[in-house]
Amino acid sequence: MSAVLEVFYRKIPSIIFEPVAICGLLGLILAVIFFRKDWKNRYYLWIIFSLLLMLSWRSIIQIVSSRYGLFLMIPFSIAAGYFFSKLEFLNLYFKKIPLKYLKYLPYLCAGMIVIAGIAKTLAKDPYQAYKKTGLETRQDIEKNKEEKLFTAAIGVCNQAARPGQHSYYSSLRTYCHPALIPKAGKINLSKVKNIIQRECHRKNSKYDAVYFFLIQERKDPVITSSHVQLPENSFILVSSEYRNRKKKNILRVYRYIPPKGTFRRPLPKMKK
Amino acid sequence: MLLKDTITNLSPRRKTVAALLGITMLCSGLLLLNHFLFPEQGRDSMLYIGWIKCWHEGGFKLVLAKHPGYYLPPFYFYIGHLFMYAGLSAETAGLCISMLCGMFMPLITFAMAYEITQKKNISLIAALLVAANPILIELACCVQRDMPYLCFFTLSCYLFIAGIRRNKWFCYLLSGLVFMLSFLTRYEAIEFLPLVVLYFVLALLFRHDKWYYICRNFLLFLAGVTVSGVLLLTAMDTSDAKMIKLYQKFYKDKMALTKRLYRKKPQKTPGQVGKKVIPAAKKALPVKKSIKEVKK
Repeated sequence: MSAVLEVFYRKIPSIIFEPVAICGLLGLILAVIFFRKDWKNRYYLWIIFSLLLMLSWRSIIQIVSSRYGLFLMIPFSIAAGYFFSKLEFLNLYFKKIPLKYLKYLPYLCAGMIVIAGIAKTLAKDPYQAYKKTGLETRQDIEKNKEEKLFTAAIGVCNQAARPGQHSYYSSLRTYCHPALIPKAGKINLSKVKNIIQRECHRKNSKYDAVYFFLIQERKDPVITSSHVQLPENSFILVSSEYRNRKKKNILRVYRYIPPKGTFRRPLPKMKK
Repeated sequence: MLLKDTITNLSPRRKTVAALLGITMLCSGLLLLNHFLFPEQGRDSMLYIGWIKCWHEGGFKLVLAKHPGYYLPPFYFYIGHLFMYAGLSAETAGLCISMLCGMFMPLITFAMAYEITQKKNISLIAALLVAANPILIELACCVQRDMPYLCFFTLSCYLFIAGIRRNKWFCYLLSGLVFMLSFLTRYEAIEFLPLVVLYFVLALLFRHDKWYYICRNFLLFLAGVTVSGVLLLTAMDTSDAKMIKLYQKFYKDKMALTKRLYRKKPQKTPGQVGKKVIPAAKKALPVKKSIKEVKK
């Protein structure tokens, strides 16, 4: 039941855009009041029934994403238009407002909603963490390949749903390693060395560089070679960007290149 | 002064056309602005871009071979692949489709609102509200199936309502044709079918028209659906049997998800789920795994 309520109160209004949803609802109520005796146009019955069916269908079955309720935007916008057009009737109750001003009231209200819509469109999060870090990583790869520091690289990230984005923007084959997914806000750094060992220091290793796309909390320090017990300057930060306006999480990209002569050989043991 | 004179001298019809043109331009401007300010694509878009590329390389068969879990309707990826013949990248092709559909949305909304209300001011306000809707603008700048689906579905509804209002046979035929496009873009469009059937039943019961005209219109709608379906499935080099299998996969996934969402949450007592008591370590793993699977 709570899932259905969530759909009604949160997901559907958010996809329709809240002011339009409220005005549309008022418009539908007005339409029912005005047309209650005019059932000659019987297809009003059909329209209201279709709206009810769409709402119930989406509340019961399709409740994963608010995008599934997208079509409701059209009938609600029409109903909102109807509501605004009926605002002229305010003259019956508020006689002090001259009719010539009331004529423009629907357009004024619609204009206000349009301004709110434009503001909401432009006030989105300006941080484009995946794209920015991806492009910087791509540049870094090209530069290092030119300098012949490595020949093939692979990406590892710590978000199960995001390897596609990292892979697309950095043009690097990327996978998510479950051991790196933060638990209680902390990344298990001891696993980083294991991954590096597996990717670069086996006899049949294909890759001589590993890029780590790690989501960390803002307060977390930048990971250095000493943190992951690797030879000095082999593990460095390539790029970093906040994920969103809240600046709570940061996406950092690290690069590991094996020291000369250690590729496809076991990693040397480091002192703690 | 000149502008004011020009506006006052315009006929009402030209005023409406000018207003619609302005609304479409506003929508297009907002789409472009949004695209240049926030060009990053989401994770679903990455999947779709991959599928469009894959289709372009080896057709629908390659998509099915490379992605065994694929169950989405193929029309969007097919148009994307056609756009790629024009020399566009997969991302640009997907964006072009979404943006074009987004730009036409205010016009279709105006037409639909006018067909229902027969009032220009209501229809213009509705078109304006749709043009500046932040969600519409956001989705029209993504490589997603939502915008083509919305465009085709609204167009299908508009044609159907126009058929009822004007009593023209070709409106039903066109509605059926466009309905199939929307169904092959998103399965959610299927909710239109019970509504159509309901309308024809109501029309027969309330004697909205002569019974043979109602039957003719229903058959025309079905003919539109069939013709469009057969032509598209042939063009996309897929078969109806494959489509049925894909839809079954989709339906199974949705039902599993619905069941999960309505299932009672396990009690918080450690080691206890429902009536059975099982060790905490054994219990935690399968529950977490299945949630991830559902999210995917």
